[in-house]
Amino acid sequence: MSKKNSHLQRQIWKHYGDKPLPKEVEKLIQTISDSYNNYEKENKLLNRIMNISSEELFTANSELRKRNDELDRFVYSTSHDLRAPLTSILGLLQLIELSENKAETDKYIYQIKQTTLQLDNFIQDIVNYTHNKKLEIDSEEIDFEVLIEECLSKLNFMSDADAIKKIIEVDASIPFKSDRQRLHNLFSNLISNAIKYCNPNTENPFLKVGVTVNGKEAEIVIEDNGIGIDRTHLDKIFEMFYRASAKSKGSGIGLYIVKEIVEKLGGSISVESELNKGTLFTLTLPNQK
Amino acid sequence: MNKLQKVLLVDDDDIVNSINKVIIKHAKFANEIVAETIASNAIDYIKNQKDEGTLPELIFLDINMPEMDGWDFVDEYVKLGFEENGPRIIMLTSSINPRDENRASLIDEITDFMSKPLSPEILDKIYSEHFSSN
Repeated sequence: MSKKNSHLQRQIWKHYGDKPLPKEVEKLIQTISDSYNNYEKENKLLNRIMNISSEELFTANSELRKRNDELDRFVYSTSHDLRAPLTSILGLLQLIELSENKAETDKYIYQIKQTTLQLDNFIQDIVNYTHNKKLEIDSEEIDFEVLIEECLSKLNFMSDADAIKKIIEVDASIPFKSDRQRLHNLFSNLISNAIKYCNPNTENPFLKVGVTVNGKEAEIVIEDNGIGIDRTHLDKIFEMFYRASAKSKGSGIGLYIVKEIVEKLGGSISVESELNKGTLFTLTLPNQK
Repeated sequence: MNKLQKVLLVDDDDIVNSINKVIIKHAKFANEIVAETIASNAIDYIKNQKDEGTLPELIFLDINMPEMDGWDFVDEYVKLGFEENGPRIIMLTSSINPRDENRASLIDEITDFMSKPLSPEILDKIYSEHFSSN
């Protein structure tokens, strides 16, 4: 007779001791023993799977925790930046209620308009940020001159935009493919910063956008002679919601979006800057085939 | 008659400062309202006024400001070594983060934590809770 499952053997011993088992149950006992063995084997396998899964779960959980913390920060900062213009608008509406003077009321209405535009910009930024996070990379041939012109014309409403000389140098004899929407965001953010932080004391404010394409990648430089960024802030400017300058009126999400887009496209970005002299951003973006 | 002699507004947003100025004036809350958009300038202002003996009784302080933020401002303020007689600080912010409110409540120098926008009703409340002891 074949060896019986040890659990079953112990049960038999408990009830029968040394006595031999009746012949007629031998077959039944063997079937039960086989079932026991199968059960134990499956149980072992299951245990092994569970151990692996729980390890995976543990890693996934700590990853989720990290994401959740990030999301938490994002939600609170975002809610602050969404609320700030709204509280200003509420305040201005209060002033309009109190005011009996038309010129004063007009001033408040103008400020409400400006604040609303600021809020709209911020929402657009958030949408761009999410868009970059979620969507796959689109690839189409890029005409840099057209793209840069589009960005510039959309930024024409900014004060000081007219006073700044724009120098655009594109050297792209080889076709370059990339994600048009993302590049648009990228250029808009960097160019609008150059306009926003132009130096009012400079006689010839300029903004230079240079693009050189080779088969593998595009090198992009965006240079201005604006107010510059203090050395102490330079390594933090790409952080989410970081505002380096007291002159900053934005939320501090622009350069963070730029960095995220560059990373998504597999490129790199660096910055050089000197206070009161100007800022130079250098980007390298791979040619998406 | 206005309730306080002088109030200092510290907020990087010009529009917020101009709103608060009008509200404070309208509520006849203070004779003089000074606004600073850069927190470190506000610290310098307080230092000067301390020497002149013309300190504000109350500072409305924003949290989210570039360079020196509201928390940094409070750290610098503490270094000035005011005792009981120093200006009161009320945080006035768009933040609805309970962590900010909690953090503020743990700092002795911060008298109160309020959500924007300022209104005549809030000013009344501030006066009766923090200034009408006499």
